[in-house]
Amino acid sequence: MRPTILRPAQAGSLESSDCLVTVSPGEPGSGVKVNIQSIVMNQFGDEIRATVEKAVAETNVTDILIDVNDRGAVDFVLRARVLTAIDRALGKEEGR
Amino acid sequence: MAWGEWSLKRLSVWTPGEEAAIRSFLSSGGLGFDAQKPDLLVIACNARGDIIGTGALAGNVLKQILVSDEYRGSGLFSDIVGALMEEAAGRGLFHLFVFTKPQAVHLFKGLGFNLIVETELAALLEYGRPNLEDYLQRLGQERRPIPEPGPGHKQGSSAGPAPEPEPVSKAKIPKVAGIVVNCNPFTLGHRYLIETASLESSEVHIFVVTEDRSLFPTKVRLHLVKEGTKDLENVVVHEAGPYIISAATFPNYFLRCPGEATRAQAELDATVFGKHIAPVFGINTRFVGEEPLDATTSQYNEALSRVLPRYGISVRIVPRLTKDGAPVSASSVRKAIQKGDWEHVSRLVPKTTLDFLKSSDAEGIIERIRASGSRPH
Repeated sequence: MRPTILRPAQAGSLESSDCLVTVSPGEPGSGVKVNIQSIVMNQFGDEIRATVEKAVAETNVTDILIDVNDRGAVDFVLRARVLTAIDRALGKEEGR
Repeated sequence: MAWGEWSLKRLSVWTPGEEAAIRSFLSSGGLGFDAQKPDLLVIACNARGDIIGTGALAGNVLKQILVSDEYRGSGLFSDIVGALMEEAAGRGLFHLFVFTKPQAVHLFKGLGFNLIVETELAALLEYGRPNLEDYLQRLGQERRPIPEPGPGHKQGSSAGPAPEPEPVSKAKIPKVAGIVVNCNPFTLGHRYLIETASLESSEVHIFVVTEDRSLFPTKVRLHLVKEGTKDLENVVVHEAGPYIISAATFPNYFLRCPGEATRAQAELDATVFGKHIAPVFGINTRFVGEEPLDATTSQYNEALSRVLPRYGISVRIVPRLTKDGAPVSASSVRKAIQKGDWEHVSRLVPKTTLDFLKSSDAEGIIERIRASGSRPH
């Protein structure tokens, strides 16, 4: 069984060059759903999506909704925020 | 950088002096300090200690967000909103509303908020989930009433001449009614309003206010409305949820303070109903009880009459049911309970409500009503 989250959680901020990632439980069987809003959507929308999806895949978590509000974060910040939000939603200690 | 350093303070308690300073800052931007005390204040100060920005969190609603003119474009606005969102997340609140002026809509959109409605006086936006779309989808899946053919269509026996068929041009579109009620508690007055709608309409959708700020808890109010309308087949009872008379759409409804702010909120709430909620069920008539006594409710009725026709919804104001020369209202029921005048109570409420009031489940509520003095809700 792939892990699922039971509660919503958030990581990041709305500061410039950061992003605010909110994860919430999805319907059973809904898989991974990613919504992205970004100030650089036109230029980097696809890259942001790929980074987020890759990070989620690493955790193996499913039935999850991921809302990314990107304020121009670079790749590794984005990845860290997604992983931290998922950790928090799983009730793991914050340590990344 | 043209802007100097600033610091953010997060306050869950504040001194009268701090409140006075915030009040004067807010009034410089045409804002008032909310009648309802917020859970948290955020204040931004420059190096000299002057207030240059504020924001507040009340439940899951962000309000009183103001940044002084010199700091437009400095990032202070997103700092304040970000701090409020972080505090909200720490309290387990991931779905947030912001009630603001229409001029500020673009600023919040820029931070990822989505617009729910905008009127001339105010705007409501939201962030996070479950959002309006999720809510409307869930509402659309709720049970539908069994439509009645409506008045004049009831077929009698075959004896007698057949009724003249109505000319096509005169044929009416069946009324689909919407009613929003708090029912604190359910009275014969509510029953009369709903029965009137039931007789005049093919189907009736009742929305019972969810916000739990009344002496009768939401669960009980909802239960009593369901019990009291069970016999009406074309009536369905919904829980109103966060987009109908809630802390987000209409906080002053619970504070009973008529005025300009209440008007802005009433119009906003009416707009949400007309634009988003009514279409889910094809509601084309909003039934309301005439309001001779309470100024907040009558202001609300006026707002509905102004706003809803723009969305093709007519407002049908039904005169109040009167008993012994006085309009039947939930507050008169609560007053009678307070006095212990059960004979009077029994003349104002249907049997279903009376049975509940006499049950052991009601003991705690009745005690609270007795202790509540003149509390409006």
